[in-house]
Amino acid sequence: MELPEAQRETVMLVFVEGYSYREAAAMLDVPIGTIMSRLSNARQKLKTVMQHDKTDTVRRSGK
Amino acid sequence: MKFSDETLLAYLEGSLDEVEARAVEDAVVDDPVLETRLMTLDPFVPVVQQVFEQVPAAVPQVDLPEPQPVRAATGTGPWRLLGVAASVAVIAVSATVWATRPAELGWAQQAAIYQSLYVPDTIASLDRSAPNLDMQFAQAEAQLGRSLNREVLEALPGLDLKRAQVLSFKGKPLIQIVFANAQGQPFAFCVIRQGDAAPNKDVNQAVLSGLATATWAQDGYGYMLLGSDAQTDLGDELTVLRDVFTG
Repeated sequence: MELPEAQRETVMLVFVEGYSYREAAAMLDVPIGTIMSRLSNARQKLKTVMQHDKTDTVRRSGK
Repeated sequence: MKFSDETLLAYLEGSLDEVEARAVEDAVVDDPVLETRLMTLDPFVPVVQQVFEQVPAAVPQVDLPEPQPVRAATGTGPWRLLGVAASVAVIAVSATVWATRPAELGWAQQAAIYQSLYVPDTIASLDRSAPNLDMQFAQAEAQLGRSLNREVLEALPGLDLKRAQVLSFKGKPLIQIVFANAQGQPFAFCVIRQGDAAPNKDVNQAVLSGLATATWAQDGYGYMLLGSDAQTDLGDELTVLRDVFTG
């Protein structure tokens, strides 16, 4: 699963590079609500990926 | 409207209903303090940062990493599960975020980062003699293929012209013209030749890398004005430069 480009770009700016929501909004020329919405969607996808991976790990270890 | 940490965590978890989530997002627009609280509480920030600390810049990670503690996932409930999962899910997350392809910043973001490193001492001792500036502007205008209207730049009120420097962004000439304001603080105007196919863009004002900026594009050139800090009022300079640099 990959994040759509807009979500990935937003995650990189806010989570990795430490820009605030409003700085990211200015840089990407979108409303701050769009930034928050993209991050919300990205969090849900990342959470799904991590929970799925956790399940696989437990299954492989036989626990 | 005030929001508890529990409510904000619920928002970050995605467990608020649409109306409640919208209320948080609407409030953030006018409330930088709320924005900071949300960013501080966000459990995904340390998780994703951990990924980027462990994944080499250009080589995809192959082996599962050793489990590591996750700072923001020490509570109970879904986030505890998330924290445990995070320690074994670095590969999945890095693939999801596409860690080996970091987002590329545009010329304006890169210029702002560069300019944000300037301090008064950077420009205090620059040689601003007429012959030196003549040479710098000749080089810059030759690279750009257009006039920089030096007489206008030298007449900007409250600014002292210090230097014109030729830089490059992705092979395109990028000229940085640096000034000192009345307090000796750095101030800059940048011009990049983007090419005839580049779209025109109206003025967009934003704080980038802690600096007030105004950017616009016209007839194949991009322009950027950068203040000394986030609060710099660019209005007067912007009016003059927008008039002069229209093509």
